[in-house]
Order: sequence, then structure tokens, then C-alpha cells
Amino acid sequence: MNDDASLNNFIMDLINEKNLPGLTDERKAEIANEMQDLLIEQINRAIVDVLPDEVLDKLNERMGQPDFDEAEMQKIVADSGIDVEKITADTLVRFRAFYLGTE
Amino acid sequence: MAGESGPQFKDVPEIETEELKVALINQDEELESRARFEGENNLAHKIDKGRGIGRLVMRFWQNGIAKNYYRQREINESRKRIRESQKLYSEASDSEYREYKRNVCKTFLMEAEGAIDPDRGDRRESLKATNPGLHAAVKDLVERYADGRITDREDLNREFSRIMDGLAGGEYSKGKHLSVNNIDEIAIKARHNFENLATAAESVNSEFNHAESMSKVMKGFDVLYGKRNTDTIDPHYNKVDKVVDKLSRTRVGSLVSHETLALATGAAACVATVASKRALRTACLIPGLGSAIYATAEAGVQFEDNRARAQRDERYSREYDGSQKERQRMKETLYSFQKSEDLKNSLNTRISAIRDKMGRGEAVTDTEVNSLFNFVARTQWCLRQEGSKNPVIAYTSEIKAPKEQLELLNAMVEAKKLLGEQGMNDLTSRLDKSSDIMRNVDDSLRESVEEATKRAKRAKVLTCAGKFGAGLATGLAIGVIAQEVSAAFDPNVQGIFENSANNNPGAKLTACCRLAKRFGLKGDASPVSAYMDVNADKVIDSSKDIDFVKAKDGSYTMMQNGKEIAKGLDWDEDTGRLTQASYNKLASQGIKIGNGKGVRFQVPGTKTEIAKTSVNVSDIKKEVGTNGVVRAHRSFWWDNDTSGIYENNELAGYNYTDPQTGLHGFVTGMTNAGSIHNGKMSEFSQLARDGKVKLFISLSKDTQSTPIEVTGKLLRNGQVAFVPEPGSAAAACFDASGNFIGKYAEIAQVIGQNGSDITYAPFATAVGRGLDGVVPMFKERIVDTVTDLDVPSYEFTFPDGDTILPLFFPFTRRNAMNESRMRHAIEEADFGRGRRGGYGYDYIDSLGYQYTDGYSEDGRRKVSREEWEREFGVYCSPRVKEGKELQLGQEMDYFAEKLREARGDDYVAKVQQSIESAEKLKNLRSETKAVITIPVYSLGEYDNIYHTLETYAKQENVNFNEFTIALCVNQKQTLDQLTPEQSAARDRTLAEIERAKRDFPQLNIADFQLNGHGGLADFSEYLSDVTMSSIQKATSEGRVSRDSDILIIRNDADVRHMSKNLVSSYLKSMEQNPKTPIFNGTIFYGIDKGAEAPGFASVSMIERMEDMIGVIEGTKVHTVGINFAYRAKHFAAIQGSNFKPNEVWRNSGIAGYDDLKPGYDLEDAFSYAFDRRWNRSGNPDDHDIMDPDTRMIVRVGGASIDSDVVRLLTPYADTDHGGQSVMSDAYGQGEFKPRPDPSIAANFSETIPDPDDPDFETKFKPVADQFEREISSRLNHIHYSGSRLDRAMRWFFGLDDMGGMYTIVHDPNYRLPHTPDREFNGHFFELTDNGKKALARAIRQRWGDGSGGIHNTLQRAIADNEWI
Repeated sequence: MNDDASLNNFIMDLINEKNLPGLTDERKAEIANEMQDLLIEQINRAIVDVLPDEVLDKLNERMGQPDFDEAEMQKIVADSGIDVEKITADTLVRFRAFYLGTE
Repeated sequence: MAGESGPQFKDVPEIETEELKVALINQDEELESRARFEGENNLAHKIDKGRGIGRLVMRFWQNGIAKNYYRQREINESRKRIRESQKLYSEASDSEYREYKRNVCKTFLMEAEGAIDPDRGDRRESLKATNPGLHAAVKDLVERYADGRITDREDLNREFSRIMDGLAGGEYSKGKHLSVNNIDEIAIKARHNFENLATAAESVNSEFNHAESMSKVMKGFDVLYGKRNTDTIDPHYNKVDKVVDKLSRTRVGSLVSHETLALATGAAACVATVASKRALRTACLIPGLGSAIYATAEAGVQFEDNRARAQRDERYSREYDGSQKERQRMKETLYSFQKSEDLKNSLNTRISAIRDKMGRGEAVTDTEVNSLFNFVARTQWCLRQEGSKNPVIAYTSEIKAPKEQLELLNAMVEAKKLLGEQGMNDLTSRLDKSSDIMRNVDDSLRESVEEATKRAKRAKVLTCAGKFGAGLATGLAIGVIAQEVSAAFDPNVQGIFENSANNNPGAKLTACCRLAKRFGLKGDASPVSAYMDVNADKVIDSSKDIDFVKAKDGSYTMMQNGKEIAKGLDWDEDTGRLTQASYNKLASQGIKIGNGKGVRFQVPGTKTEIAKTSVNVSDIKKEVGTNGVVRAHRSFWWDNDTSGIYENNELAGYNYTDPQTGLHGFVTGMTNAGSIHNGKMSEFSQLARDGKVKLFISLSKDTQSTPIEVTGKLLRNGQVAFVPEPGSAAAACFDASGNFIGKYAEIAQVIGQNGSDITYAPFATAVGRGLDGVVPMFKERIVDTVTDLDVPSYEFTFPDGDTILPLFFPFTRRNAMNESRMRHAIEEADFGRGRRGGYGYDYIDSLGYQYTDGYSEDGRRKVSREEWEREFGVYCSPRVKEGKELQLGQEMDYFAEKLREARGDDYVAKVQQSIESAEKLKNLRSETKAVITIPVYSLGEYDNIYHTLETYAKQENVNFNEFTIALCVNQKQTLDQLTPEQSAARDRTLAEIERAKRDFPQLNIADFQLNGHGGLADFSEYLSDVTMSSIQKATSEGRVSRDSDILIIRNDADVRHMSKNLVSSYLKSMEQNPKTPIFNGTIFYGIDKGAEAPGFASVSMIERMEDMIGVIEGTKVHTVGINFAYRAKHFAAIQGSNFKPNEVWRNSGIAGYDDLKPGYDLEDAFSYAFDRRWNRSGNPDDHDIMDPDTRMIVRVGGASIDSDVVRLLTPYADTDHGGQSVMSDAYGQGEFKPRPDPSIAANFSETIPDPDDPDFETKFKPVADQFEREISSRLNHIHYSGSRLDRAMRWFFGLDDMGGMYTIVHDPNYRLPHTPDREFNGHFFELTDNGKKALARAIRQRWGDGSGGIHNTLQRAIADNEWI
């Protein structure tokens, strides 16, 4: 199972658990895609909120460079010293609670 | 010609003549800036309107190619317009622009601070030197007009233009944008002056002397050329501008237009942006994506451009041209401005009020003067920001800015003059101090702007991530975590970390448990069941099924699906945990929760983990001080830099959990007995004892002037705890987890209080979310506005709600730079020059320089217990080896026994004989707490000893029966070897001692004589043995309690001045530090010589400061010369002066071992006992937390001595600035020499030239050379550290950073080229040109006007009898 599939499965599980009436599989897949973008944005936001200033400055500086790409961006974040995994997990748990209305 | 007897021209009365100065100001920079500004505005306008080229530009906007093309075109048009019209501002009428130029010139010619701004690149120079031809021609023109040779003003102007065209060149040549003050105005003034002189001559019937008169008129004439740079906030070159500018100067570039170059450059930039194969392919194949990448990059530049534009608009009172949202966004990122007109009017109002009163003959109140001063200080601070990136003065418009600035400067001149009239003479110094305070206030206010900018940066990163369509976390991380989270909530999903089989009924719990443990999650992921052990006998399936229900008896019942599982459980509401008994009860039923320790869990039905209490609104109001109960003023900041580069002693806040007393906050990076921070000293523990360490909590930036105050409590371990009262407003600023949720929590030293006004200096600050975080608990309402700073204050009310759990400071630990460097370097370094020759301590200071020093961490690790036993332990009493408490009587007996063993019976007999001859030693008083030992050189101290004893007789706050003064009088010669003169000198010394005994009966003076007992070191050591033996005698005979404590204070016979509380301060410090063996005070050398020998004084001050820093840090035990003390029982426990008696340096006859050695010996012996050389825990960071009770040396505040400087100043002066350092000479003394020739010092004086003096370098060379030699000498010496010297110099120079001030020669491994012996005559420390000037300024500041510096302060103290 690839990484996107893991995230997609996570979301599909949520949709199934939510058990909204009248959803076709096709519509569920559409919702899952939308939710996936939303979820990634929330994770990004959570990460950006705790990034140290110097890392933020570095990202801003590098973003203006022609050779800057996604891999470098993620490496800078990974090397920043913040616990990306914890933040991600925390966000997923919060997202889950929010979506299922258990919070 | 005047007749011999008639009136001469010299009889003509003096006429006040107007100053004649011509200003030529090059404003080309402003022209370029203005062209860019106009061009960008025009382009933005066209794009917004969406007409014509706007549509075209918009089409290309995203890829940025055409943008640069059209931008350059607009800039070119603006540039052309300005050059043709010769007006920077098209909106100005001709007369308005003339006025503008005139005011630019007037401001430029003003001498007032702020008139020109070197920081911005402004400069001003006289053409007399740089273009004498032009200068002479203009002068001649003015003279011709003045004496009537030119009569027509048009002719004058025409001639001036001709001169400028012909003789000017370069920066002020034709074609440059110049502002010139009207030559005809100058010429008319000259004519007026000339005519006045003629009239004056006529009035006294004098013969008019044309040449002499013209000479008077033109005396102050000058032509000044200046360059005025653009505002630092003006639009600057972007990358394309720079390339275009460069290309346009090339041959090819000159053939094509700027627009064409811009297009080419812009295209190249865009291609470069997508030049990577992948990006290029993406850009080509996927429409929009390539441009999106570029747009993201461009967005950053655009944001900065727009921000600069918005800032300039704000500064010149224009509305930023953009959408409302954009305007709001920009506004948040801008600093606030003060209108120049408002500042001027406020000044003038205050000036007028005072002048009116003075005119009416009424008394001007202090309040009125202070009000004016405060406003002057504020305005001065604003003016000082003009050249910065963030100026704070706003003007009505660009065209009116020079006029408004001129008026403001004139108002400042008038205000300063008035303050001087009102007796405020030290205005410059006061303004500097006020400016510092303003800067601190400003810094805090600006933080909000920085935060807004930070928000914008975060938004940009998010946008960028969005453009990539990816997460900031890697896909792998998200995938793994998603899998794990799924597993945590679904028993059918196996987590990545899962080892169990799918069929394991506990899979869900295990996954959730691991997830929670791994990521420390709370909330849904950490329900009670998450911590349940699946291996327990009973497994709970779902956390949702668990309830805790409070029973009538107050206990809790655990329920699952409505079914009772366990009852009678107790829950500690303070800690949020089950009691241990409840855990046991659950376990007995087969239910195990976590490991039974420290697991906090949630009680369903409550949203928070905290107990609810209520807080009265009135309490909050009182604490917050909205009605002026408390008003805070921040003074200087201690080292509190948040830039990310921290030094060794940078401050940091910590939390600390005490199992008995709960959570505490404290500051580290400070030693408990005192630290130097930011060039200032703070004795943290003492401050805390005095209740001066407090926590100030602000709920928002706007309410920083009325913070909530929590007093720190000193703990036994030297830390300071701040524990808000439960239910208080302070406690409300911490959330359920103990996180700080107010805005600022400042741990600070209170430095002044006047009623409800409190002034403090923050040590460390925690920053929380502020009102956003507290808002669920508070409702805010603006109730008052503090007019001075326009800071609103708030009233807070609590809704019904929650509060508080224990305190926790979210401070971040700051890693000292030197730590990493030191460890890294130590791995590679392998050198040493051991202080004792047996082993070396490698030490690398925070600058990276390598030393050998006795207190490096590495040194501690190197010396094993076995080595210590072999080298040091053999001299120590059993109590030292075992780390036991010492008892005076017991250790004295040990000392006596070892003294006899080491020195023999004859020596001991001689010692006893000396005791017998000194009545006050023989019968040492039972109250004795200190013995002051003073070796007296019988042939040289006859002029000093009486005065020295007098200083002790005038001691205050001390019981004179508690200390004895032991004098050992000796000379190297035996009595029969003395010449008659020497005999007379000796007799005189003895007579002076007797006179002191008669005059100061309150003193217990115990003197005895030796003859021919070696040099100073020798008989000092003997004096020590006698003193120790007298204490042993007293304790063994029961006259002094065996459990008492006695300090031996070492001093000299040539004290010039002394603090009145020297003895009492030592005794107080001895009581407060019961385990410390060594104490030292501060030594000054020749306070009254500061002005006479400022170079020497600066060296000695820096040296003293270096010493003080080391002692305060606990990294230097340096008992140099005088004014130090050691505890008698500690010294006895190491055999006193017989500790390691066979050291080579001890027997080499050099001066110093009698003073330095006791300190080193005690350190070597007790560093083991105090466990400072070995880390008990093995944790290398442990040494950071030093138990104050086990400090090896403590600096004694209030114990200062001013010693005779002659013997040090003499070698300094005698070398004629060409030879040795003082230190080398001091070591060269070897024996205690006869007094040096005082005439050298008496005739010595140094002059410190003005750094702006053209001959500065030559004049300052002798002082600079000697300074370099002295600092080099100290760097070469093992007792001094470059890091500490750097900090001491920072303090002396008044600089935050010594970067660029000096260079040190070192090898690639940062080793200093030290010499193996103590002699050092070379330089490896060298001041740069800037460093020399900074040193000269610092010296002049301290001694130049008599108002600054500690020497002057001490001189005043002596004059005021505050010192003896």
C-alpha cells in the first residue's frame, strides 16, 4: 500500500464510520479527494505554526530560487527539529474527532 | 591709510557677522529612487485600471517577463521627466520646489544631531580641501558682490553657473541633480556684513581697512558638498534592475534601451527559474504549473516591494493604493509613525509654557522641565531612527519633509538650550540613557509588527506548499501516521508499529497505547483505556465505554456501558491522577492502568482536566492595575537575545519539578552569587533574598505597562520559584497543562520603585499567545488610555469558568555557542601547558581560543580520583577526603601537627615566639571572626601604614572586637646590614604603627617584627603560618570556640581608599556562604590617576572586570595581590601554606605565590570535595546547575579597595610605551623591591586625542600600543581568558559586540602564540582602526568630561566620604 493510499484509506474509513446516508461509492471517492487536500493543508498549517523562525526565513529565501522543489521543502522541514510525525498524528486525530463529531 | 595718531581699524567695534556657507547637495540617489517609485506606481495604476497595456501586462504578469519590461519603461519615463523638469516631485509648483531645495540645504548645514544621517549614507565635506579651485572661485565671487564689484544679482547668478560649469566635476558636475542654496542670498549677506563694518568704522572715525574688513566678513566662509541618500525604506533595485543597470554600462548595453534590457533580463530570469529539466518540462507540458512556481517565488519579492511602498506611503501621509484587505495586511506589517508636525508642536508648546513663566518671573517646576526633557528624549530617539530601515517620523509630504524636519530640528535646538538654562547640564548623557529606554519600549512595540510579518511569511510558505500540491511533511510520514491512527481506532487495522496478529483482541488498545506513548497525544487518543495493559487479566474494549461516576461518599466508581467495574476509587483533583491506592484496587481486580505512575486521565463529562474555581473581578483589577495601581517601566535588558546566537551566560528560563513542593520556574545562565550580563552585574540570589526578583505577566502587548506581579521566592538550592496564588489573575495565565497562555512572562530584577511606578530589567521572557489564549477566561474592555505612549490599558472580567493548574514555563533552553565548539575542538586538540606542570587543562573559550585553565570541563574529566589522591589528597585532612563538614578546632590541630612535620621544631618555635610578641595574637579574642593579615615592608611603607590602619579604624557596621589586624614588619636585610637611612626608615614605619595604635584604640593591632626574612612572598607566608598558629593556640586553649568560623583576609599596607563596609561585607558573605573557602573583593588601581593615566586606567579596569566575570561565573579562582580572604578551617585542612610545598614556582622567589597559591591550593583540594571536577551523574550539563553552597570562590559585594598605583604605573610609564607590559614587569620584580621612583608616575600623563582629529592615529599610538601590549600580555597569561576579556572590553567600550574592533593572531587550531614563560613583550592582540577610535571614545567618555565612568563615581564617593 503506498502512502497516498494510506491517507486515502484513513479518510475512507472516516467516511464509512460517519455513515452518511445516500452516498454512492463514486461520491465517497470525490469527498475523500477533497478531504485529502483539506487534511494536507491542515497538517501543513500545523507544521508551519511551529516552524522556528530561522527555518521559516530559510524557506522564504529558498522559495525564490529557481532550483527549489518539493523535496527540498520537505527536507528543510524534516531537518528543522520539529516532530513532524507527532504534529501529523495530532492533526489526524483532531481531524478524525472533528469529522466524526466526537470532540 | 590710517594716520599714526588717528583711530585705527582695530578700534572698530566687533560686529556680529552672519555665517556664510554655500551648500552643494547631490541628490542623484533620491532621483533614482523617486524614478523607481513613480514608475512602479504608474505601472500598478495602469494594471489596476486594466486598460491599454495593463491588459497586456496582466497576461504576462504571472510569468514575470513583461512586468520587468514595463516596469523599466515606466521608471525611464519618470527619470526623464525629473531630469527635464529638474524637479524630483512633479506635483510641486516651482516656488514650492525652490522652498524644498532651500530647506534641504538649510537642514544640511545645521550642526544639530539628526541634520545629516551617516547611517543612511549622508555625508558632508568642505570643498576647501577636495576642490580648492571651486572653493576659491565661489569665495571670490561672493567677495566681489560684497564690495560692490558686481552689482547685479543676475550677473551674480550667471557667473556662479559659469563657475559651476567650468570648475565643478564628478559628483557635483553638470547634469547631476543638485540642490544649491541661493548664491545670491549668501552674497547679499556678505555685502550686508561688509557694509556694517564700514558703518562701524565710520562711527568711530576710523580709517576703513578694506582687506581686513573683507577678511572678517569671509572668516567663516565655506563651500560644503554633501550627498544625500534616499530613505532606507525607499524602493530599491530589484534583481532585474541591478542587471539592467550593470548591462547598460557595457558597450552592448549602451546600444539598446533599458526596456529591451529589462525584457531580456526578465526572460532570462524566468528561464532560469524553470531551468531545471524537471521544472522546465513541467512548465512546458502542464499549462499553468510553471508559471505557478514562478509566481510563488515572485510573490515573496512582490510582498517586500509592496510593503516598502506601503511604508513610504505611510511615512508621507498617503493612502496605500490597494484593496482593503491588502491595505489591512500591509498596515499590520508596518511600524507606526509619529508626525513631525505633532512632535514639533508638542515641543514648542512645552517650550512656550516655560518661557512664558520665565518671562513672568514665576518659578518653573521640575515637572515642567521633566516633561520637556521627556519629550526631547522621545523626539531625539525618533530622529535617530531616521536612517534606519524603520524610520518613525512621518511628514505631510515628500516636498514638505525638509521644511518640517528643519523646524523640528530648530525646536530641538531651542528645547535643549532651554533645558540647559534650567540647569540640566548633563543633557547628552541623560538623552543617551533615555534613548536606551525608548529603544526597549520600541522593541517591545515593534514585536507586534514582526509577528505580523511572520504571519505573512507563514502564509507564503503555505501558499508555496499548496502550489506544489504537497505536504510539508513527506508523503511517507503522512502515510505511516495515517496508518497508525487508523489502527488506533479500528481493531481490524494493523498499525505500522504493530507486532501482534490481527486477531489479537487487544490490537486496538495496543496500537492506541503506542501511538499515545510515541507522540504524547492527548484528547481522543489518550483515553483511559489507551493506557490499559492488554496483558492484564481484564481488557477494556473501548474508551468510550468508560465512565467515572462520583459517589455520595466522594469516591469514584468506574463504569463500563453502565456496568460497574470498580468502585471506591479516589482521584486527586490537584494532580488529575488516581491515587496509588486506587491503582492498587484496580490491579487487584485484574485491571491495570499504565504503569501505575504518573498517568493522567480524563474524566468524561468535563471538558478540561482542571478544577473550577472563581476569581473576583476586583482582584484582577487590582492585580492588573488598571487604575494606576502599578505602572511598569522597563529599563535595560539583561542578555535576553532571541536572535538564535547565544553566548555562554545567556539567560534562559527553566521549569523545575520538586517532588515535595511541586513545579517551579527559574532562570539559568546566571550564577547564584552573581553574573555579568550584557555588561552589567546582577547578584541573583541576593536580589531574590531582597525580594527584587519578580515575575511580571502581561496579558497583551498593549498592557505591558501594567503587568501582574509575582514575587520570586528563593529556594535553598539557589533557584527562584514563582508560584502564583491559586485563583489569582497570575495563575489564570497558565492553562490546564501548565503552559503559559498570557502574552509575556518576564523574570526581572526590580531596579527602582516610586510608589506604584516600578522599573525593572527583564532577565528572561516567555512569550505566550496572549489574549488569544486567555480570552476564554477574560473579557476585555478598554478603560483608559495612557497618553504618553498611546497605549491602551484593559479591564478584565472572568466569565464563569475555569482556572489553573501548576505553573510551567515554556522557556526554550539556549545552547551556548561555545559548548558545541568546545566539545568539537577538544576532540581535536591535544596540547597543554599545565599550571602546575603535571597535567594540563585544555580550555577553549567561547570565542574558540584555546587556553590552559584550571576550570575547564575537560579538566574536570581528566583528573581522576587516583590522580587527585596522589597529587593533592596527601595534603588534605581526612574530613576533606571524605567530604565531611569541617570543624575549626579539629582542622587547626591537623594544621599544627603537619606544620611541625613539614617545617620542624625550630620553625614552630619561631612562630610561637612571634605570637608571644604580638599581644593581640597571643590573646586572640573569643569574638574573633576575622584576622586581617598585612605584610609591611619596613623600608617602604612608612608613608602608607598609618593611613591604611586608619581605613580600618573607620569601618562601619562592624564590631571592632570581631577582627584583629596582624602586621608582620620585615625587610630583607638583618638589622646589622641596614644603612643609617634604612634604619631610620624602619624606625619611622614602626613609629607610625605605634601612632596608629594610640590614635585608633578600637583596633586590635597585633604586630611583630622580623629581620632578614626574605622578600614579600616569604614573610607573607610566615605571617600566614603565625596567624593560623595563633588561631590554633586560641582554639586549643579554649579561648575561641572550636566550632567557630574565622576568615583570614589578606591585604597590603598601601591602601589609598577603602569602602566603609569592607570588613562587614566579608563577614556577611562568610555567613551567607557557609561552605565557600575563598572570597574576594574588588581592587582598583589609583582611582585618582584615571584622568592622568587614562590608558593605564582603562587596562586596569578591563583586567579587573575580566577577573570579576570569572569569579562571578565560578570559572576563575584568582586570589591576586590583595583583598581576598580564605576560611581558616579550610586552609588548615590542607596544611595551609604547606600544601604542595615543593612546587618549583613557589621556591623560585617570584612575587605572587603568597597570594595566588592559597587560592589555587584550596581549589585543587576542595574541587574534589565539592564534586566539581567530576560529574556525579555523568551528565555533562550538570555543572550548569551549581549548588551555591559549594562555590569555590564568592565575590564580596561592597568590599573594594583602591590600591597604590605607583608601583604599577611606574613600569607602565617607564617603558616609554616601547617595552614590557605591566604584568611582565610585575613578575619581574621577583622580590619585594624598594619603592619605585614615584617621580616617573608623578610626572606622567597621557592625552587621549579626539577620534576625529586628523592626527588621531599618531597621537593615540602610544596609548594604543601600550593597550595592545597589556591585553596581549594578559591573553598570554594562563589566568586570563579571551572570552572574558572580550566581555570586559564590551563593557568598557560600551558595545554589544566587539566584532571588527580587534584581531588576535592565532594558528588554525585557534591556539594563541603564547610564550612558555611568563615574560611577554610582543603583540598578538591588535586593535583595528575602528577599535582604536572606539577605545579613545570610551576613555574620553569616562574621563573626558568628568561625568562618566566608575572612576569618577568613586572619586565622588571619596569626596562625599562614602569611601574612606
